[in-house]
Amino acid sequence: MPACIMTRVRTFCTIMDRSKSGYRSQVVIWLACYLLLILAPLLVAWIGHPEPSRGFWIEFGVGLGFVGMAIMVLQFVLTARVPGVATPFGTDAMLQFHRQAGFTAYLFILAHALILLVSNPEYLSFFDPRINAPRAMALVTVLIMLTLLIVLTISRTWFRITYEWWRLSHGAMALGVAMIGLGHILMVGFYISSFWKQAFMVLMTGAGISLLLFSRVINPRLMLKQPYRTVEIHQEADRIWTLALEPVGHSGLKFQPGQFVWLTLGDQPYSLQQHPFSLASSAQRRDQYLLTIKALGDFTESIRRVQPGTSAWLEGPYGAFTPDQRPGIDAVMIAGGIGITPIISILRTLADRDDPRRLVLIYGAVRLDAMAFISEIETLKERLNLTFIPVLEHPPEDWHGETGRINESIMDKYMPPVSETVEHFVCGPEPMMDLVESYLNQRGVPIRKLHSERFKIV
Amino acid sequence: MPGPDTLHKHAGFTMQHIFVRRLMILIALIALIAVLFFAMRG
Repeated sequence: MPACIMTRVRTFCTIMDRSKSGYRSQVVIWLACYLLLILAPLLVAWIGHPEPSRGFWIEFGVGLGFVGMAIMVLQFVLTARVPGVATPFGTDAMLQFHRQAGFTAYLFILAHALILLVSNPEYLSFFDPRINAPRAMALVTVLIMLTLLIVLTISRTWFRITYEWWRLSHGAMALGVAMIGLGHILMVGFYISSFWKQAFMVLMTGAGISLLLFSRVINPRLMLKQPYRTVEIHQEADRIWTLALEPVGHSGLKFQPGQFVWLTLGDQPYSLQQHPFSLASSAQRRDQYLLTIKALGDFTESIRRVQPGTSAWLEGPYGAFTPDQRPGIDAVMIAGGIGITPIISILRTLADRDDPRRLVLIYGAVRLDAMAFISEIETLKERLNLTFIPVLEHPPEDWHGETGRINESIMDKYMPPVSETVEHFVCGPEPMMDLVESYLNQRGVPIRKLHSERFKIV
Repeated sequence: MPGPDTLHKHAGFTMQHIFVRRLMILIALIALIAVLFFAMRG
């Protein structure tokens, strides 16, 4: 998708139950669990602590440190791709939450240090290498790493750091912060002094770190048992290529149309080059998996040069940008550019299932030669209850369809009335997403009826 | 769809991003209140 580049769009609401009360209750349960966990170290410190208070600001500073540490540890849970964790919100919303939580943890931990130093300058001795060099180095290191975690995430492109190296350094520094944070809590030992309190902090931090190891080490190891082979690479449209993979020695992964996988190419799955792509093939087929990719970056530019026979590894499926959880519910799909890939998977799947639901697809592209799958979608109309509205920004002379960019007047013309029985799937470039989401919001489409998720990792 | 090698920041409007930000602010406020109670004890 263009947007000055590309975002990935998936679902926002729940994969399990998109009813109003169901959605709200899941959000409330998720929120309650998260709150309980970030407050858990504070509660553990509080319980059974006979020492008198050392004054408001010192205790306030200490409390911020406990909460900041807990938010840091829970960051591992949010990004470990644990099934079910992202379910109520969708994967992109979870990554956005991870980002916001990172800023919050940084502020809490920074405030922890500053408030303690201001309220009692004697704490400056913690940073004095003459008193305790390892402690001073560890605390300075953790503050530097925390700052780098934030700065490099916000300004990765400005620093010209590749995504792969950012990802590696991000995980390593987060691991370092968690380890040093745990060591700091245990060594200070004012609140966490008894065995059970220390065990709790070690277990909580250990669980978070284990999840990081699971996603980076165990998951690739599991993938080793399910290799795929590249069988074909063909051009779909201008700068758009489709990679066809077949499972080798296993039955292939089961997915829902609209979901995505993390793709690794090469002889083994341990690689920094792991990228998320939508599955474009029908979910009814497990003999071949299609990934349609637009050449926009280093890795995606290399896709057209992949040789048949190249080994591939798929992690997933992930995401909830799928109509599968509400069979029979009508769908309005709005796609821009390469944002068509999860949509074509949905259309192919519903056609294979002879699904009778009403579908409206508004699909915009810059030029006809950049509009992937247009012929196939026209053919699919014969097998689906599909209204297809292609929109071209620069149409050829003999074009009879809509022209320009997808806008309010085009959507007014073709969108069905807002209803509990209509779901909206939006996938496309950033400006289009902004416009469509704003339009649907003004039109009165509830957020639980809007599936649009963006992968703006960094 | 291309992978994250092609992604970059965009400060556009999105309903879910605003929702997520508000959710995090709410969580941070609740946590701050808990820390306040922790600090005011005794």
